[in-house]
Amino acid sequence: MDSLFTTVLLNTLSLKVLMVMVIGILAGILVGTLPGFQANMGVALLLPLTFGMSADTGIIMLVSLYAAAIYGGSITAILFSTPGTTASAATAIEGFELTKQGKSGTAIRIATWCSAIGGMVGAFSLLFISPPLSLISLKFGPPEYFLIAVFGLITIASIASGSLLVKGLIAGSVGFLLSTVGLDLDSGYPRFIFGMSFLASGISFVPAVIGLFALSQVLAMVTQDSGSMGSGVAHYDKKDWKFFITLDELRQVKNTIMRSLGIGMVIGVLPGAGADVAAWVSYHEAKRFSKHPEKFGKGAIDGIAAAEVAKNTECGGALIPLLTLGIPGSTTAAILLGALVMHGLVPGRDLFTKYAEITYTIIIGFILANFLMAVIGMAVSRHIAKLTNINIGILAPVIVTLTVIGSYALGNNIYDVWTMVAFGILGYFMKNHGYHPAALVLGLILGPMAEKGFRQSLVLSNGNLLEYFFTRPISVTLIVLIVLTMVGPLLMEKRRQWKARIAG
Amino acid sequence: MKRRSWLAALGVIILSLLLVAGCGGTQSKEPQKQAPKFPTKPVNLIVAYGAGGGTDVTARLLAGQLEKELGQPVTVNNVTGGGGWNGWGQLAKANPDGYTIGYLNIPNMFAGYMDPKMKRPENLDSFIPLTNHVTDYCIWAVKGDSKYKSLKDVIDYAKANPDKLSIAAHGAGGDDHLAILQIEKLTGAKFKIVHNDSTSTSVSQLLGGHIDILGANVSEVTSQVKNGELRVLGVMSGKPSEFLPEVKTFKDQGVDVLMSVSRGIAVPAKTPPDVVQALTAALEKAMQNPDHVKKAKELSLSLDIVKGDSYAKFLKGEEQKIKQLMGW
Amino acid sequence: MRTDTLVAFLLIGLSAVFYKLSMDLTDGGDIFPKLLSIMTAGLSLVLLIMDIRKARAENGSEKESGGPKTLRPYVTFVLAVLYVAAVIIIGFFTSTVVFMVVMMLYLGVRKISNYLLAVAFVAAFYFLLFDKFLHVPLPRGLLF
Repeated sequence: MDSLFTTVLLNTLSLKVLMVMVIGILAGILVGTLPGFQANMGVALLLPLTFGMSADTGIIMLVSLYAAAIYGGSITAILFSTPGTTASAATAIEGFELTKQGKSGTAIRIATWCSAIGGMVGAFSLLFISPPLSLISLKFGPPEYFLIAVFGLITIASIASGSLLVKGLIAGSVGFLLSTVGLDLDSGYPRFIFGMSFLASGISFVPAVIGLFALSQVLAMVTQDSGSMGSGVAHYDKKDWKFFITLDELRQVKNTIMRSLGIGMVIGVLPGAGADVAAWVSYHEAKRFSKHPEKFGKGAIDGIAAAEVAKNTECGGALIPLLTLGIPGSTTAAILLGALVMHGLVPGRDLFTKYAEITYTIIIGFILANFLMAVIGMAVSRHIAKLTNINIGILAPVIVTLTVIGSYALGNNIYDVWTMVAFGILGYFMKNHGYHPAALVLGLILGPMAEKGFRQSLVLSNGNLLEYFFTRPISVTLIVLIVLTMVGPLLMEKRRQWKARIAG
Repeated sequence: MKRRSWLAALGVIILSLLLVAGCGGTQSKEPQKQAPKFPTKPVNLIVAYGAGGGTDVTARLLAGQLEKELGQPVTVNNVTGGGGWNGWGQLAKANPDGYTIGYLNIPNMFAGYMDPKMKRPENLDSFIPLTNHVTDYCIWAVKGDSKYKSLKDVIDYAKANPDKLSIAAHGAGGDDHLAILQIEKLTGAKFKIVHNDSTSTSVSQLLGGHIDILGANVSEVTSQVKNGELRVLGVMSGKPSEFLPEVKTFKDQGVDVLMSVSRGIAVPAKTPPDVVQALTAALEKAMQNPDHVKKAKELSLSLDIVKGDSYAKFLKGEEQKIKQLMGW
Repeated sequence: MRTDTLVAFLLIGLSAVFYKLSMDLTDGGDIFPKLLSIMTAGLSLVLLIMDIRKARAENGSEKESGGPKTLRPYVTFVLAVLYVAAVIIIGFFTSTVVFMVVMMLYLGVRKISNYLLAVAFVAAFYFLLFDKFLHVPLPRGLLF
């Protein structure tokens, strides 16, 4: 073991490995910040480059890109409220609020280091708890997936609370309804396509998110007269930019970090539930457990930390079923599977025994890459942040062209661009009238997962749905959790009133 | 003030257009007159599915080799959405000059135009098929420790207990689903069908014991077969697969079914014959390149080069088979 | 009409259309669309009732909450639509240059150097990254 450890460490710290890591990270941040470019496209584009490399070097480059792309989306989410990848949409809520208050440095710093912490712990868990975790993940069947989706949908209540709850629920159910558009997997019937065959695969999700968040943000931006984004407020405040997260900040968010690590890990090992789901669920939980839930939506650093930790932990988590069982949980993981196989590595037990040296080099490399990602990220985003001082008259047209090229490059078809534009004006309208776009997005992401889980359960249970759901331990646990989440706040409120009455 | 900025703007527009036109000039001149040799500019290879999918991996593998044969860059272009038909539609409508080629996916592309609900103008005649590239046969598998040892065990049980055994497939009208329909018809067995949008979900459902049988393709299961997690009951090909040599075919086990996904290259109809010929020759050479053969083997992709008329005949035959099965 | 009332009516209409269309669906494909259209319609009804009550409280005069009173976002949106249409017809690069200049003019950018810098930088960035490096086949038009 000792000699294995030293070999692995020497492998990872070689100049070649460090170099490909830096390349992967820079490419990843670029992919992440451009709207429309998702992690899987970046990994696919870089894959051919790795054929000439040794297995560990090549795969380290790809996983570095993967982690950095998932992180990079948050930089623009915070600075311009234009999330580069869909996973960063939750970060945009609190992050952009801070930017408007002139605290972009704080927001970026929290996001960056929390991403890195999530990524490192996610990678670290690969070393020790892969096999048991992957076995647990197999216990999640259709009913459990349905319940996780339901759990995620409850998040809507925390994005839109109080007087806006009805509107939030409306946005969520419309999003869910729109998610049913397209070919039905079970019957092959093209649902609600209104004669437009480009809708056969459903409403393209990424362009919809670009429209709802980025284009609508531009429309909101131009309401002001020329000048930088917030009238009179300095956006780029040099004093606010420190390189490392401070101990004080860490203390503030430490509970959130711990909780989000758990959430990211669980959702990561489940194939099919991606980084966006992890970020939203974790954001919701952070708000629910927070002592100051009223600060959410006004620039709460807990909200940023929660989303960032969870989505980057998910990256590491997603590699667990891939390495141990050969089950890729996402398209990015599927490309990584291809890369492993091409380098002669068969996922499974062999990876941790016969090929331990290569596997552990990759994992240690992944940990290191997450740290380097934070260092490079802090250095790069400082310069991107200066762009917030640019005149809106210049910034707005540039972002519009980015949303257009981003939604085009994704699927190389103009329909996706029209989708983006349509959701852009919809998002603008929604923001102005109290319907949170994030609620619609949640419906769009989680809708298919909920529907598929429910209908598969229906088939598998031969119609005995109740028996099927209530005889499975994980399913029962999830049901209890969901009920508690919904009823809990009410009970606590009642208890508080009761206590107040006694005291009074 | 106002007028000055207008003038400025006009100046910028003209200047940038000149600049941009200058850059592009070298490229726009070439295709004007009939060049003696094909190709003289980059070739665009359309894949109807997203980056990282099976067809995308196949395409990127071939693109590198094809570049060497053609002496021009070949770029993979993922045109996604529309159930694949955004991509196939774009291929059908592209300039028939040979600079746009693309993958046809059989049988997945049939539903998009044969199902009368889709009202799509394109069909097989919108393309000239050049050559098949990869054929990935369907298999049925169970968990490594399952009580079902053979195909017969499964069929017998499903005949005696209809709608008890569950099987995963990936979508109505897809290869896995068509295979199940055909087998049900031949044997009288009845299964509960669970559809997943990706086979990896089906594999984890099988390993977790949520379903009984996995319907998938050879290339999707080889790594799990190697480490003993899956047992393949049979493969729906004419002869055993090179990647699963010890597995019997369905036909040898008394169920006469042939089913696969196949990916081949086509160009838009009306592409000139000499270009078709040049492309077919280059494709064949690229596919037979030892380097390509080796890489395909590593990914468990079985190369199946069927050219020109034979490929066209194969497509028509599959079309008829699917038409009958789905009742379109 | 008040905005919320209008939205409620629109959504009830949309739900009705989806409900009607889902009656043709088979294999369980109708369950969720039906459930969701009923839910959307129900929630819209709640919104409608809330809005009518509010209207009474406010004596019919809607208190303005509908965002800033300026046409700029809408003009920007129309420009964006024209831009996408132009991308199809005259190609990506040409329309991007034209769009950026028109939009900057509209938003009142004065300095000529700003026009030159922004347009040149963006065009070069897209050209190098998407066209030369990533080989994204961007729509080409008459000029380029």
